[in-house]
Amino acid sequence: MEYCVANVAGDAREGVVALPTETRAYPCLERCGTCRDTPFLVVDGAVVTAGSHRTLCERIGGEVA
Amino acid sequence: MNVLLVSIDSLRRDFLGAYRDRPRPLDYDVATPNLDRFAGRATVFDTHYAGSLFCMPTRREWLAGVQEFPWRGWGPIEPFDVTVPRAARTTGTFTRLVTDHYHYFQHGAAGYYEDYNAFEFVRGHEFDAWQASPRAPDERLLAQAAATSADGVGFVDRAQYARNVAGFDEEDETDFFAPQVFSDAAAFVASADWDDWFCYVDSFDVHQPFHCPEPYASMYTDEDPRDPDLSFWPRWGRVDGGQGAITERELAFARSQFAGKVTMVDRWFGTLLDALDDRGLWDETAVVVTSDHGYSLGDHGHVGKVHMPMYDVLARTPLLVHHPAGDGGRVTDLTAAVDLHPTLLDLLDARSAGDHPHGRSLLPFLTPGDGSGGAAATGGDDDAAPHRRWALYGEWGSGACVTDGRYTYLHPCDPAEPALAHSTEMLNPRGVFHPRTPEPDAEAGRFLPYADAPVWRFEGEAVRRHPDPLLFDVEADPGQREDVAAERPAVASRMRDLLGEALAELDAPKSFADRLGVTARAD
Repeated sequence: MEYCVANVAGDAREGVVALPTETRAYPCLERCGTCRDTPFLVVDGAVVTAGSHRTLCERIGGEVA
Repeated sequence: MNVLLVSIDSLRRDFLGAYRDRPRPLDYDVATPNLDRFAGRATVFDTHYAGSLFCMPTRREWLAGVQEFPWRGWGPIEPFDVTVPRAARTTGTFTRLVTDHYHYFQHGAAGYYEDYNAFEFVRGHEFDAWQASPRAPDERLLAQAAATSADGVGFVDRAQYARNVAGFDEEDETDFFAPQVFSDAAAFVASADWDDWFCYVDSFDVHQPFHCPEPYASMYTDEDPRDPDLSFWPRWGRVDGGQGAITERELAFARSQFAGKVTMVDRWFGTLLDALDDRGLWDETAVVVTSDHGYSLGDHGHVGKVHMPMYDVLARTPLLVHHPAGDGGRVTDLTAAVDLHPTLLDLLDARSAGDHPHGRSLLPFLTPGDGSGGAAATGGDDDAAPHRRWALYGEWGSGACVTDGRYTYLHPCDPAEPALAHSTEMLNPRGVFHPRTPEPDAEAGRFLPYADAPVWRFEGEAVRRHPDPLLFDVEADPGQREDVAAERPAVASRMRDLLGEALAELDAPKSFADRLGVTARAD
């Protein structure tokens, strides 16, 4: 799973890096339009969005579990 | 004297015949006859390293002489910067810029074109906010650009590129960017009616997207270059998974299109050389050709540049300089991108108008007959003193790298510690292409050792590119295939100390050194 540090910052990053899967931080994922508008992660190359990073983590954490 | 500065964005050093017979990741040769022709009359710098990365930070090094990445990232020219064109104008030199580098006109930049007497901006490259129609570009172009949709209005949208080039004829190379940029530059050189001029040709090619017209699109591949299943714009990342995952077929295609772009740029760079030949300007014109950084085409398991360790494929850049009084040859001394700044000022006889302490002029290498030699370059009394003991490079908000010309040492940072940005503007430390947002916790102070002005200081997210230090012996292992940090701990320790010395000599922020875990001078 990959994330942009501009999108996943501060407390949100703690939740993301705690996910039970390999995570990689990027200074930029070149998804700047999405990045500005909504929380997102790139999971296996696909952009996944949600209303919050917490929701993203819950969704991805459940899928990984 | 006239000065012609040419930068070719993302041009890998190993794609030039002056440096290597064949590019490292390819099993075929790439034609660069004009750059090779130029190398024949230039001084070729063998051990030249980038500094502040990527793109605009490099241009601040070249144009304003500031090795900025210990203090800030991508951002504008600062009020206390004196750019090369501004300094040149004080000596009566006419200054001109031609570029398709749209970052100059995007959120996050300012000051990079305003100091020229004249500039030409070739529209349309990458995410340039140029064309408003067609709303729905050709599906094949969208597919090859790996654009997810043509319906959005967000920033940095790949569909915009497809929209920009919708009217291009892929059989007519004159529609494309490098031909336009170099044609314009050649026309200026052919007709310039000023006693002395400085012209900066900033070609965004060979930067992605690697979208080529014929004959270049088919030159290095047997694939149909218009196959919608083959992207000319691979996502950056690791090739073995994630957004950068790429098949061998796709990677081979991307490489062939990058190679095609290199040959295309070379072809049109040749028109500049022809213009200099036709007007007999070589005896009164210095010509500098370089690149800001490279681009990984599967090297070390990566495609792209912004996310990965700063291997030499990114940081060791080409530099070729013709001086009317020079006799060419090769320079093996360690040199750095920021050295171009005082060098350009010296060539323009404008050093007193805009000097900055970070760079060291390369002029003694270009004019060996005037007796100034190595001693003048270093300021010392020892004729054998090297031009540089170190070259520092990296991107703000990450680790830092140092080389002594033989070893490269890549040092990571602690990503849990925020990075500090210093600027007169509340620039976005991350999300540089977005509109700026205020930094409510910024503090003001005289934090810069090289500027007599207060700046804002505020936090940004740090990124660690690799977990452990990496050490490479680039003389024995120019491809950097073997990390020898564990095998040669004494060398690693020495290079770590050299990194600390470099930061101390720059008077870099203590906060930066602390985040690296390296000892340097205090704030």
